[in-house]
Amino acid sequence: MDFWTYLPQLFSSGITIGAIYALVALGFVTISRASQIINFAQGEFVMLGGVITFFFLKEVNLPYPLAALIAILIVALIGFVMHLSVVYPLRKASIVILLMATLGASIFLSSTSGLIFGTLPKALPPFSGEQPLQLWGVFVLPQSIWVLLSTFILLIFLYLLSHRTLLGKAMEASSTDPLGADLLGISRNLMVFLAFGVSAGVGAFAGILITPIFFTSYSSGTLLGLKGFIAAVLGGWGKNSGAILGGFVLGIVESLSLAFIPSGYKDAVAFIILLLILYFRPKGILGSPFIDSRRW
Amino acid sequence: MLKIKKLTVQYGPLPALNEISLEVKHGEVVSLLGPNGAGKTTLLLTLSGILKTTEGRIIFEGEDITNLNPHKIVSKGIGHVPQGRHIFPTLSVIDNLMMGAYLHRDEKKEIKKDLEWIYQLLPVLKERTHQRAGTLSGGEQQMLSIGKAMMGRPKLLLLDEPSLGLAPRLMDEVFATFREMNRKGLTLFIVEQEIHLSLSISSRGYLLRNGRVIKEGSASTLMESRELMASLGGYLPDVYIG
Repeated sequence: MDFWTYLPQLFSSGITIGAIYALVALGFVTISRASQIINFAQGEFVMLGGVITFFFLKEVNLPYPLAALIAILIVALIGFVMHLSVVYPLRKASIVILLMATLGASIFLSSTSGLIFGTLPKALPPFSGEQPLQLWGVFVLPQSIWVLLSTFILLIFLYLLSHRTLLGKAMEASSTDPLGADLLGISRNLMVFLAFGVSAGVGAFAGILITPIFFTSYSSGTLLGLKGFIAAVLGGWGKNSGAILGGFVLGIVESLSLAFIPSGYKDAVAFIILLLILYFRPKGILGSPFIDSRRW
Repeated sequence: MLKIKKLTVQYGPLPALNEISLEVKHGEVVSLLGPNGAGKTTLLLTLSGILKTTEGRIIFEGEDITNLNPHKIVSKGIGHVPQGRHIFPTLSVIDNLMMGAYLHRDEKKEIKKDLEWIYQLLPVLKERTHQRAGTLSGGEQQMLSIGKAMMGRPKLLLLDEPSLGLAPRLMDEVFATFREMNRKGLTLFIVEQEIHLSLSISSRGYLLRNGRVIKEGSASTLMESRELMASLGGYLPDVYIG
């Protein structure tokens, strides 16, 4: 096949994986906006979403949507428990210590998942059909369309949640000015608690979307988490819009790179992007509220 | 209404407040004056539960509120307008005000009434209802900061340097608003550098220096005291203070 004919193909799969990165990045941003913490267990939430859905679908024989829903709820619960048991007791500690703690939680979650659900890679069946559709000369898996559609709906839902409800506005208030919010009785600790639940749920959602496309094993959370982190930095650390944009840009660039370099180097592309962005534009594409632009 | 007994607050090993005792009575306006670094802001943040104390008691309406969480203290009726405004720049003016009513968010009817009253008191907020708070001018942001604290229906309002960064004409306007709020029954505890303006609406005042109360009394006695002039006006060197 000619070089130019498979570029659109790579582009379309880039958009699919980009949507997943965007969701993972959004999880990072939600927590960091509420608490300045970089939650390195974010990738584990994604992995757990896939693995737990697989467990309920294949071992318990629940219907697919129910299994997915239960998995999202369980992972959100794990997010809450992680806040109460790891982050809350350390709320007076420095950010570096909290960062180490989330790294510890990440290792704990991935090994525990290996112990409970086994270490073999798992693949969920696609939501519907495996026959690729041909759209404008590009072959697209039905699952890719599901991924984009679900991501889109989830983003709208999250937007409404954070901009149309009092609780969402309170979270926004607490993340832009924790002291001002505390003085109005909007407890920062409660907002961070909620942020952990929401991010874990969003992570699990991403995990369920991706497991029919890539195999998910107990250890695959780390790489997905790092990619999401890179996407969030690329788009502009601390910005929801940045996380979404960064996710898609990273997914597309990574996928297009396959046209030029062997696929084994694909993961390196993301890290090279991270290095480049940290050297030349640390505040990311859209700018970051956490990084003073005057310094750069 | 508010009684502070021998309150000590430490910043690391250093005491920022040293055995402070003071009182604010129902319906009063009380000024807390003192040079920079005297511990005025520290005292207000401790009253609101943001900073914790090691020794001493804070009694509000007969109830011990020492070291309670901030949201508990707000719900007891202590509002706090912090130094530097601390509005939420990305939210609209009305959403900022609604955040102030967060603790009684379910009482829709009362909130509407409160809102009307605040719009009447601070009419500039009504004109800007749907504007993003970050785009307001400094004076308008100060009004908003006061407005959102008022939405919490405080019985006692703590004001930390409300005149900071305001043009003199606006200062007068803000203090006229305080007088009006006080006339409606709100008790005020004001930290200020603008001593004359602040004492002009106060009945009593305290002078703080290096974390201790060095002088207290009625507004008129304080206005004429040598200590006040020495510590704020800079007319008299320290040796003259007995």
